[in-house]
Amino acid sequence: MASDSSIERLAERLGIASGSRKIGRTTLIRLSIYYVVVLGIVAGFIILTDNFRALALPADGKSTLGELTQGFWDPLFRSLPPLTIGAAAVLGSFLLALPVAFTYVRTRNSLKYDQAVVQTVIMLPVVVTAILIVVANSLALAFSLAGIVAAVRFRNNLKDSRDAVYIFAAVGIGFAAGVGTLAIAAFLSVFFCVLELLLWKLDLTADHEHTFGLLCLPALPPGQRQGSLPFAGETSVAPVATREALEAASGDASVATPSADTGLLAMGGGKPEPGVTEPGEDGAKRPAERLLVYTTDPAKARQVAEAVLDQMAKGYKLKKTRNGGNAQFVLEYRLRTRRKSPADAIIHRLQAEGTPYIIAAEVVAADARDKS
Amino acid sequence: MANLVVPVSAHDHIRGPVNAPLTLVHYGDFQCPHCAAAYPEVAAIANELSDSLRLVFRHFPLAQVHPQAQRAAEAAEAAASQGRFWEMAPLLYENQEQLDDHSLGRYAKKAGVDLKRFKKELSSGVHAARVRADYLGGVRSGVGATPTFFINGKRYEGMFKSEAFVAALLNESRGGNR
Repeated sequence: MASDSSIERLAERLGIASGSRKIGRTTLIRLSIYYVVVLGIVAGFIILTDNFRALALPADGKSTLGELTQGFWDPLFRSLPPLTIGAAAVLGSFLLALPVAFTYVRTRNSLKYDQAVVQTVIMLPVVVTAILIVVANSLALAFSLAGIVAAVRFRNNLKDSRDAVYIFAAVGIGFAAGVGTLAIAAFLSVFFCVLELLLWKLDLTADHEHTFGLLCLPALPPGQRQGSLPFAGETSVAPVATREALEAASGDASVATPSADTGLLAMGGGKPEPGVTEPGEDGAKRPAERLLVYTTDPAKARQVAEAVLDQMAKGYKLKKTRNGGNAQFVLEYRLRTRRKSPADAIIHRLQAEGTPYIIAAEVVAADARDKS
Repeated sequence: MANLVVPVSAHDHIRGPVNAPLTLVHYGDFQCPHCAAAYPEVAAIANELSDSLRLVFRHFPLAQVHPQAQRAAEAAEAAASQGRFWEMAPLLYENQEQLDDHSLGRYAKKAGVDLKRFKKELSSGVHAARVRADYLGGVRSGVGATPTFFINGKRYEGMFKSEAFVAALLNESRGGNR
């Protein structure tokens, strides 16, 4: 089946079908060879740039083997203009950023892959290095740079928070190269790539992930928050109604044990109200309706609902309390409305006064079957 | 595990083939930060599985904690009335810190919506009933928080990451027994 194969293909691409993430021997070999070559080049740059002062001939003219060697190379270093030193740093940061970008491409699945991040990781160290070389030790230039950066307003939403780490790594490499510590830049590049590949391969802490705390829930009073993982001060864990709460909500009726299969929790006889009649008993002028109150706390919701219904309804009777699943319960009332207070007005008031216990309320025809 | 009570119908916002073997129903709130984080993941999967996945969006604005969510949902409906729901939804999620009427107008314009008609519909509240119907449908299905997903009518309990979604969809396509 074509559709099935497309999901299979996608799962395969994401490494889901195989059940494990494979870095691949070829990838490791390529990275290793690349680093050996680049580190050789970087070592050359370090010798050419960082140590050139130490290679000057001694003033007393004593000649050792090392000094002779230094003397041999001395003209070359003396002739090195600042441009060459800067170019070596820029080129070094570029070469060290490439494996970081490669690691990003390798460890991001096709859905999370962001080409902009790859190009940024390659280009950013080059730019940062160049800027730092220009700024050097000048405080005035540093302030100028801050002014320019402040003037360039740039905002971008990264698809994955881990992408930010790549950006920081790129800045780090550029920074290290820019201040003349290519060895640090090289170490950062190698260590970052190894660490990232390992973390991706092992998929550390994945087993501990849960949607707990990753949901927005209706606000609940502080007393009802249980083991909450608040997010921006707006979330809490929905309370799970206890059997006692259900019993309280259902009055003196017997409460059945929740059934995970059917979702049916309780059949409760409510408090009959005078004037409530079954449909058709008092004529067909204003037939009874069914009021469904969705709540996380049936006991409190019942208090609120019945206080509202006492004032606004002609008559009502709690028929049953159902478990709607996911810590939600449904109070089912048989309802007779007044002309002055239509169902919409009752619902509006229930929601206004029932917050946060009442999630929603609706009125349906009394003979309509609840699909749930 | 709760199941989807309100079946997918022509009234829903559907992306993908109508007869797709896989259906992912998303109950979302445009002011919910977790929905905003989950939406790109879901949208990316919908792009990849354009021939086999039907993505359905339903409103579940949590007005108690997100005062602008209802308005944003109505704005999305106003865009939907001009066939621009799937252009509007990502804009709302990407800019959920600015969901005032003026900003909604800007997003609508960006989504290619006729602004005059959009503003008229938004100010009249003509789409409030539709949003409420989605909300009540969610409540009936046991939705109490956002984002909530259903895969082929069964509530999805996993993480809101593309790998987890794809794994669940794969499981469902293989018969849902694992």
